[in-house]
Amino acid sequence: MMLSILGTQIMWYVTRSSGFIALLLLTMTVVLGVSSAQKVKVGKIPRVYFAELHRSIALFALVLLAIHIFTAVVDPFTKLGWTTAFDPFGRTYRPLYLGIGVTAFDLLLAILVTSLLRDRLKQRTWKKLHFLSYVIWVFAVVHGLGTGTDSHYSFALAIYGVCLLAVVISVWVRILDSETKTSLLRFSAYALTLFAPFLLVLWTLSGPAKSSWSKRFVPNVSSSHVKSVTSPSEREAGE
Amino acid sequence: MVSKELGRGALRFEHQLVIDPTVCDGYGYCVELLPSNLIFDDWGYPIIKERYVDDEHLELAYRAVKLCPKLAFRVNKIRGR
Ligand code: SF4
Repeated sequence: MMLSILGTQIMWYVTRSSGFIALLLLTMTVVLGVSSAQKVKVGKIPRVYFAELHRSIALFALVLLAIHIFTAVVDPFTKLGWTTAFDPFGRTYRPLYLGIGVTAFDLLLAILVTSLLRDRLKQRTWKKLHFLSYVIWVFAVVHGLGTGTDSHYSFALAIYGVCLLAVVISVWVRILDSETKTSLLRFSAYALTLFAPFLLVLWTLSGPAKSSWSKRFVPNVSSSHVKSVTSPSEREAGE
Repeated sequence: MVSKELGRGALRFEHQLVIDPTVCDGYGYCVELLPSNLIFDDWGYPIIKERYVDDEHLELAYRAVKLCPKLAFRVNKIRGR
């Protein structure tokens, strides 16, 4: 009995920490990927090393995500089934933010597969799917903040903050440096990278950063309570 | 030059580097991986110095194929003479 309680607790800790590590790795992957287009050299390090690093860190992130999902599913506390790993809908446990995380994982798998089969695909198909990385990254952050067990801790907020800064700065450098003449693409990139982080911070401060946020997700509550998870207004009213 | 003995009849293969200059964006990964076969031109684009890859560098050559962001870099395996 003792052991099983300890066991499930360990699962829970592993789920949370592997999630954070996966986010850090995904952030590194995005930063390396975005800045690979800059033809700047860091000291005497051959640029190809960073390309290799992008690849291996991405794979490492997938391993961490496998652990993250495995422990989350195995944990009896969450009552998740194995289909959770691939099917983003119909969860009873933190449905919205869990679904966003699952969606991100599925998209990531699509990028993995197209990257492995890259030489058999059109370059454009591969590249287009790779652009989804930004969406995946944002989804990963929202999933992390939204599922929210740790979101109100300052250490967690610091991690999200660092990740956000790293990605936004690398994208800005990339836009400033690009020779893309299409001003529309440029403009929308600027607008997105200014607007999206702003929204993200606002949303975080209004919800996940409050310690009351995660308490709303206590499982085994009445169905009316579960419903309120998807409705922010009800959540606010409940305070 | 690469050759491979297969049974009685000797089958020779040669591995030849090919770069599609219309797609190459000058990332330079291939040159960094295969300085024995490639050099940079003045604008940072690769120039093929030695078209044939020897056994020793074959792995690096395929790594360059994998990492070339534009899929401009290829290794062709052809029947040798
Ligand atoms: S790695 Fe590809 S894009 Fe980069 S220089 Fe070589 S051929 Fe060109």
